[in-house]
Order: sequence, then structure tokens, then C-alpha cells
Amino acid sequence: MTSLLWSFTAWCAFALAIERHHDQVFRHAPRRLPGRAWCALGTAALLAALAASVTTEGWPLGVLAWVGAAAVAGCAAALLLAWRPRHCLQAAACALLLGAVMAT
Amino acid sequence: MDPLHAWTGVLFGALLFAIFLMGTLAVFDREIDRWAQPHTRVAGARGATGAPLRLDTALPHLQALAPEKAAFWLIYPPSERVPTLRLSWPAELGRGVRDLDPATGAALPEQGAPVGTQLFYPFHYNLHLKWANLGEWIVGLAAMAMLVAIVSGVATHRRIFRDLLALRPGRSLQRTALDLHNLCGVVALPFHFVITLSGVVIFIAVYLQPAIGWLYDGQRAAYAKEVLSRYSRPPARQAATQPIVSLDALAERARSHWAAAGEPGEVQLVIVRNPRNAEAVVEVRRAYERRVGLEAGTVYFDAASGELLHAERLPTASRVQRFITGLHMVQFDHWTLRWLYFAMGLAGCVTIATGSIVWVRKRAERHARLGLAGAGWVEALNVAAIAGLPLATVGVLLLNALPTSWWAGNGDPLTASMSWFFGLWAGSLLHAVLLRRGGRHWFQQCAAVAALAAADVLASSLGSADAWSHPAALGVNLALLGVSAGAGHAAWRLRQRSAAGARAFAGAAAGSAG
Repeated sequence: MTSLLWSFTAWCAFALAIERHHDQVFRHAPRRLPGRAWCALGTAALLAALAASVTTEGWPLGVLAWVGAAAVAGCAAALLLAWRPRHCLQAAACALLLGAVMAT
Repeated sequence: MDPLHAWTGVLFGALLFAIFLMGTLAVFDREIDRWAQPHTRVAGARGATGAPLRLDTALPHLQALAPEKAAFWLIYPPSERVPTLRLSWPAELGRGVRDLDPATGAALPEQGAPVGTQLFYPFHYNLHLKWANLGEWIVGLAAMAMLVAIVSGVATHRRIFRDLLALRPGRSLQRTALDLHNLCGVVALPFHFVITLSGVVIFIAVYLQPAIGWLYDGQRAAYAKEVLSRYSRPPARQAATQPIVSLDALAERARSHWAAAGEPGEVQLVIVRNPRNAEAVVEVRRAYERRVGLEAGTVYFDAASGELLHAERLPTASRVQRFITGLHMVQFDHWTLRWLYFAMGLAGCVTIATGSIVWVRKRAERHARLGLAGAGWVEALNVAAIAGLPLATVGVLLLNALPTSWWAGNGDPLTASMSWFFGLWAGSLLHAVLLRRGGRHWFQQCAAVAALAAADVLASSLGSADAWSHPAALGVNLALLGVSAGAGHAAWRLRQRSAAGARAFAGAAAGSAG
């Protein structure tokens, strides 16, 4: 579950690095540096999701679960951006915190 | 790269959709069997006394049920997903199957067919074309095409990462379909690549048949012995003079062997090879439990004396192949991952279907301007593949939820299910071809899928008391409701679009007349 939540955070962060979605959420395009920061946050969240998954399930099953969780989280992020783009930032933050609570 | 991606999709799209859809269903093949065969929804894997059911109970049933010349008998002890003691043997069409009550050891009355494990799952990897492994070759070719489509797709869709999470449901169907194609294609890209590549690796022995024949002088048994660590011996001229030793005793010795090797486990399958022959061999295979790799640690015993003949020790290359195979076949006990495989399989179906739809719609518009009819034929094929196959699937499930005598007569339910399945699919193709000019084929077939899926749930609810309490039946019923809702929504959108098209056409005609 932690892996799924952090993967969702990662996809939201990647989306905010993209001009179209940044504009949907903040009403303006991302500047160069924040764009890279969102990418870095997304990558970190995705790696944290992998670590959480491997810690819980072990190597082979953990990696498989991470790939699956990332795919499902990606679809969830796309649905959120399609219907409720303004809630993207709050949803990503909630998922990050909830994932951290579940991991501990 | 663009034409490569497009034409690979056009030529193999329908076949790939069928393979992906059946593979997705195969993730829950045993649960589909439970749904179609309510009599197998028995509780508990232990006998009436609380002790595990004896495997020896199976032998008199197999003696009576399996043909005299059956090359093997399969005995599956009760497990979480298949709670009965399941017996199987080679039959004219696939395999004969009979379930025993795990509490009493009595044969359960037959109702419905094991469509999940015997119809959908084999269709996924051999299309039920068994002659000269033709089905495996065709599926392998399609898998190679899928790999080409995946790699060329990343190069073709230049905005693939910029439009990665773009989903515009309010826009045209064409735009929404392309967004779905990009989204499902990218988020599940690693899964699709691994599942397709592993699909090719599974049948490596089929695809390398000529090389294996050349290397081992046509001695397939020598290859199986060296590469797969299998044991076999030719049947003797005389029939067995001694009865088969206790299978339960052999299973216990196999458990001890696995525990001593540091890999303890329960028995998943017992195979008796050449069961009525003096050289009969008993194979005992271990359950995979939470192991990804399909290493069963098979132990071989002489059926008459119980002497240990051989214990499987796979070479490293074969262990890698079995691991990759395990990645594909999801035989490990992990319900979350099973659902994730199912979701990603569906994502694959959506990617293939939307890709085909977008391509054909573009061509249809161009062909309509030029007065050509080719796109109509391709679209009819698309309808039969994308809507017709689910139609045949929910149709055959509906039959299995009805009393067997209504649709199979006195015949074998599995054979009848196959005939109905392919008949319905052919009917869908015929319907799509006949309506190829009107464009109503999509709407009508989607509406039929929605109605049949809802009828499946209704028939299941009326036909069995535990349709909403047994986990497998509940899961399949909920999935069918989802299919019904999804197909119904698609039919409604298609109806709206055709009505809007007709209004626009009427408006334009009135304008030009005025």
C-alpha cells in the first residue's frame, strides 16, 4: 500500500514537471528550476516506493509489486488530472504522508 | 518507425488483443472455474476426520474414468484456489477432468465446464491449434510483433512523455482513445515488455525444436534429462502386475526430501506416468507458494516398488528460464499481485484496442472521402476482435451458469462450451461484416456484451446460493458487473455519437437544400 501511495505521489510530481499539467494546477507554466525539482521529487518518491515494496515483499515479488503499483498509481493520477486537476497537489501530499504513516 | 508501429498493430492487433484478453482472464482461471462450476465451491481441504484427504482415494476413480491407454494421470490435492481433489487425464479434446469432494472422497456431480483452465487459458498460449504446435508458433510470432510494436511505439509517439498523463474525456472519441492508448501503453510499459518477452521465453523449446533435434539426434528425452532434469523411461511390453504403491506415502517422502534440501513445501501435483504399465513412474511436484520461479523440485518414484528414481536438479540456465516463466505465469500465492497482473493485463487490452480503433477511424475517414471500402472490412474485423471476443466470453459464461443439459445435451460440457464460444465469435464477425457500412456494429455488440454480462450475474445469483458469499464467485460476479457497466457506457457513447452524426448530416442536407 505504501508503494502504491508513494508511486501516486511520484506520478503527481512528474505531472507537475510537465507544462500542461503544471498550468492546470497552478495556472502558469513551470519555470526551469522548479520543473527539475518536481522531476527529482518524482524520482525520489518512485525509488522510495521501490524500497518500501522490496522491504515488505523481498526482491522478486517486491519489484513485481512495485511495477504493478506504479502502473495503477499512474492511471489514478491521470484520472485525477482529467477530472480534478486542482486537487493534484493536496492528493499527492496526502498520499506521501499516509504512505509514511503506513510504512512506520 | 511510424509505419512499423502502425502496420504491426494492424496486422497483429486482433490476434494480440485475443491473446492479451485471454491471458488476463487466465490470471483468475481457477476462480472462473469455481464460478462456472458451483459444485466445486466446497469448503476446506481436509477430510471428514480433520485429516488431509488421502491421495490414494483418487486411484480407483482414475482406474474407472481414464481411458485404458491414457499416458498419464494427474492428481491435484485440494488447495486454496482449487478446494476439491481434482483428477485429470488426457482426452480426445484437451483433458478429462473430475472433482472429488475433499471431505468424503466421493466424485462430485458435474455441472458446467472448467472454462477458465481448459478454454480461456489454453486459448491464450495455443489458440486451441495443437497440430504441430501451430498455435504456439502463431502466438510466438504475435509476441515478437508486440515487442516490435512496444519499441517502435516509444519512438513513434513523439509526445508520449509530454502527454503521458493527459486524458481528455470531454473531447472526441478519437482523442480520448489516443490518450488512453498513450496512458496505458506508458504506465504499464515495463510490465508489457516483460510479459511479452517472457511469453517468448516460455516456449523456447518449441521455437528451438529444429536446433534441439539436431543437437540431441532427435532424442527429446535426452534434452529433457539434461536441460530440464526430467526423468523418463520407456513403457514395458507387459502391463503392471503390482498395484501402485501408496501415493500418500510417496508424498510424505517427497516432503521430507524437500525439507532436507532446505526448500520445504506442500505437494501441488502427483503425476502417474504410464499408469497401467509395469514401468509406471510417480512424479511428485512441490507447490510454488511464494516462489516466483517455477521450480517444482520434482521427485520421481517407481510406482510398483516406491524406489526413489530421480530428484530434479535444474542447471543454472534452466533456473533462469523457469524464473522468467514464473514471472509470466503468476503461480505464486499473492492475491495483491494477482490483481495487479489482472489490472495491467487489462491495460494491455486497452492499449491494443485503442491503437487499432484510432488507426482504423483515421483510415475510414480518408477512405470515405476517396470512396474506398477497405477500411470498412478492417473495422469489421476490429469489431469482431475487440467487442466480439468479450461477447463470446460472456456468452459462454452465461451458458455455464444455466443447466448443462439445456445447451450441451448429453455431450461433454467443455466440448460444447468450445463450440459455443467459437460459434458466438464467428457470429459476431458475420454481424460486423454485414453491418460494416452502417457503423451500428460497434454499438450493437457493445450493448450485447453489457446485456450478456448482466445476465451472467443474474443467472449465477439464481443458480447458486453462494454466488455472493463465495470469494471466487463474488469476485467474478463483481468483475462481470464492471464489464456490463463499461460496455453499457461505451454503447451509450457510441449511440450518442451516431445520433449527433445523423443530426449533423440532416442539418447539412437541409442547409444545402435551402
